[in-house]
Amino acid sequence: MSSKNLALPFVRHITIRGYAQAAPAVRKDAKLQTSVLPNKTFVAAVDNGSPVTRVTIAFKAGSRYEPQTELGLAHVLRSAAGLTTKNASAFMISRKLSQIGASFNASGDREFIYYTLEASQENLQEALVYLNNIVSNQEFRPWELSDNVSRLKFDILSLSPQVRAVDLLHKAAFRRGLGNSLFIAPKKIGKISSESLQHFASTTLTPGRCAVSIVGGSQDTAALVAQALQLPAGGDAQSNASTYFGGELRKEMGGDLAHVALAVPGAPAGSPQSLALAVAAKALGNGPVTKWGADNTPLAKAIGNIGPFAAAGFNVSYSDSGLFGIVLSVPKDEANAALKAASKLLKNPNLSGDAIKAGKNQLKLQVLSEAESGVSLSESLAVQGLYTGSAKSAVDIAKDIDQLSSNDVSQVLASVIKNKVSMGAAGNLAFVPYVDEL
Amino acid sequence: MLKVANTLRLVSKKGNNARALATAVGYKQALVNVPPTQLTVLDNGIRIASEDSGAATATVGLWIDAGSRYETSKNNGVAHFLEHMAFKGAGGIEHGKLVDLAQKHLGGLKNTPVDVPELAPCRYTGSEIRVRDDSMPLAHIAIAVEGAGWTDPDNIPLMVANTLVGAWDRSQGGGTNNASYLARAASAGNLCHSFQSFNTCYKDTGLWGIYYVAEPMQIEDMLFNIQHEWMKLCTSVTEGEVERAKNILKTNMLLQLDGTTPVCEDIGRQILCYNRRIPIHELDARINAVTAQNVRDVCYKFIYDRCPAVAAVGPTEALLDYTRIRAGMYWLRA
Repeated sequence: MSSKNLALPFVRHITIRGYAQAAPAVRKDAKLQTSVLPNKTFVAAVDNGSPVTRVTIAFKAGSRYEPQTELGLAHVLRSAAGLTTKNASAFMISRKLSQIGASFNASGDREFIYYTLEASQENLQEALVYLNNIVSNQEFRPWELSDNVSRLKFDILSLSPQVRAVDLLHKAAFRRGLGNSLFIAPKKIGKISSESLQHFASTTLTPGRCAVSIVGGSQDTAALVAQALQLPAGGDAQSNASTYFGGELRKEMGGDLAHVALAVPGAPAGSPQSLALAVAAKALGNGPVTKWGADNTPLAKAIGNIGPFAAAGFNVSYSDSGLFGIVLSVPKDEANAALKAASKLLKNPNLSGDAIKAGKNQLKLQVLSEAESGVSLSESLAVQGLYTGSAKSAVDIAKDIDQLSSNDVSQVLASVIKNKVSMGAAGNLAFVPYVDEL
Repeated sequence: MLKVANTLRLVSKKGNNARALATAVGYKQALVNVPPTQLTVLDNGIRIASEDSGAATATVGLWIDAGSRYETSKNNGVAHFLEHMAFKGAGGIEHGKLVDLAQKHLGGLKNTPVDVPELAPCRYTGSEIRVRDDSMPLAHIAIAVEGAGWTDPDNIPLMVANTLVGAWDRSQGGGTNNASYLARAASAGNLCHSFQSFNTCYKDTGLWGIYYVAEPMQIEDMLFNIQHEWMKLCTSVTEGEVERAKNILKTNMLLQLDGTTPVCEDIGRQILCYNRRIPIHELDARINAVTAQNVRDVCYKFIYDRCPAVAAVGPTEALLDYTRIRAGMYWLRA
């Protein structure tokens, strides 16, 4: 029996400020509007008539833009969201947002940082003032950063081993740039200075690297939010090109389980190939579709009846590259057999038409379901804008998925699996084979 | 109070972009602008409720009034096997089609209530259960008083009170700036790893309380702060705090209805509990009507000098004796 514990967000790390614990009716004619402002900020809006409005301000300020001497900057940056800025103190931001029932969180992945606000329309005006004050003119006061150290430590301690395995996989595959960890190394905690953060912010939190999206509000509102931001026009941080090296990294952590991520280079975001690979990942398997149900996916069948395990196909796409593969959690004693079976499937997937059809349906449902949640819709619009300069509605993406033929999926799959396999592993690795033994 | 606060906000607002943005009128319209819930009753009593929100996915759920409280000592545990079911798929569904399907597949079920166990009145007894296990690193403690049932009008003030106490865990920032007294105390004094206030409702009763996870040596200090906050709710909670809790509660209520699956669960539960779907604007109006005096009165009725139910698992040695905990449920005042 496999479990759903792989349905964790692997590639994003969320930092929540507890102003308020964190929609409703959908207007049928809700239309997606996008534009690019003169200062190059991308703006998107879906005015769906929701009484709760979500606003996301995203920047190209993920961990891939960290210089090798200052790894962990992006983690500290997202953790510092809500600290005192030039125009508002941390106390003011926290109390004001809480008083009006608004909630705010900052999250980040390898490419981007997202500042997302949720507020009822009734209180939106006031909430937007504070969203602006959180994002603009960040100061990173050293004493506030040192007060935040225990929270960074908590973040690291509460990482699940699956997330660590995927993080190691990225490092093995890309080394630098996309290989940079999403998380600060324990030894670097407290060592990232206010000046480093200010430099990083001044070269990444700029109008040209920014997208503002709003769900439950108008395009005009989104444009006003974007124009009101007080951002430096300064530099433009560059990332290492995403060269795929391939390799393996292992972290022995003990315990009863081994968590392994295997992957080959995938396709960049927005490309037809990345959509085909997303279908293929679903087709490989994503755990049982019904609670307590049997797992009949190709991946589960390949691994066979070895007792409880969890396995899923996975596909992530970045601006210039991606990873496609399998994540697996398995009791330590079965790790060898399970991993060999999974890697055999990855090297020769040979997916049936039915499996690909099921994969298409599952991906469509996921895309449509995610668009129902205001926060994920708002963040996904900002991401699309930053990747491609335009955004598609979930319904249009679902249509694109429909257009894919089994042949398209098989062809893309055949081209990526020729590459060298990378591996990241965490947990009890006593019986986990090395990548050249697979 | 709300009106005054709104006016003040308009006057004191700084002159910037925000003026041209959404207004309270838009919010009211948005609350009313919710698709109606259509309800059909089959001959055998099965109720079919649907809401066509125009979303690209549809969730169909089947809800049966058969929780564990209907079990007898002989079949204890059987409800675990009868968990509610919900199916999600792409594509909308019309009410008529749903009724036809239900008629076809469920219309044949006979409504013979001979074997339905009669529900005895649910009696609440303040008491405690401790499962001491010193090998666990952290103690898990829940403490609650008897709350209100779904249909009890006191439920809304209790929900406001519950939101006011709030929830917190160590991953959250802004600890000492947090507006929740308890979150500030927990963060500044390092009193617990997480706490979560809860208000669990059933048909005729409920449980209102808090759950927290703490190091063994911090159990007592945390409990002291919790009971201090509870007594404050009963006696001296302020308008400003209640205003904050109402705003958070309203936002949470709306956030809970994000997507077809949560809406489906909401419809199923409300049809079983109230026999109707409560419109969002009605809930909004009921929350708006709550004042600090309401919260004080209702908390006084449900919390003050009541016997709590206490459950604790883990290294619980430092948890006070029941009589001492009970003594924290009132204040000695002249």
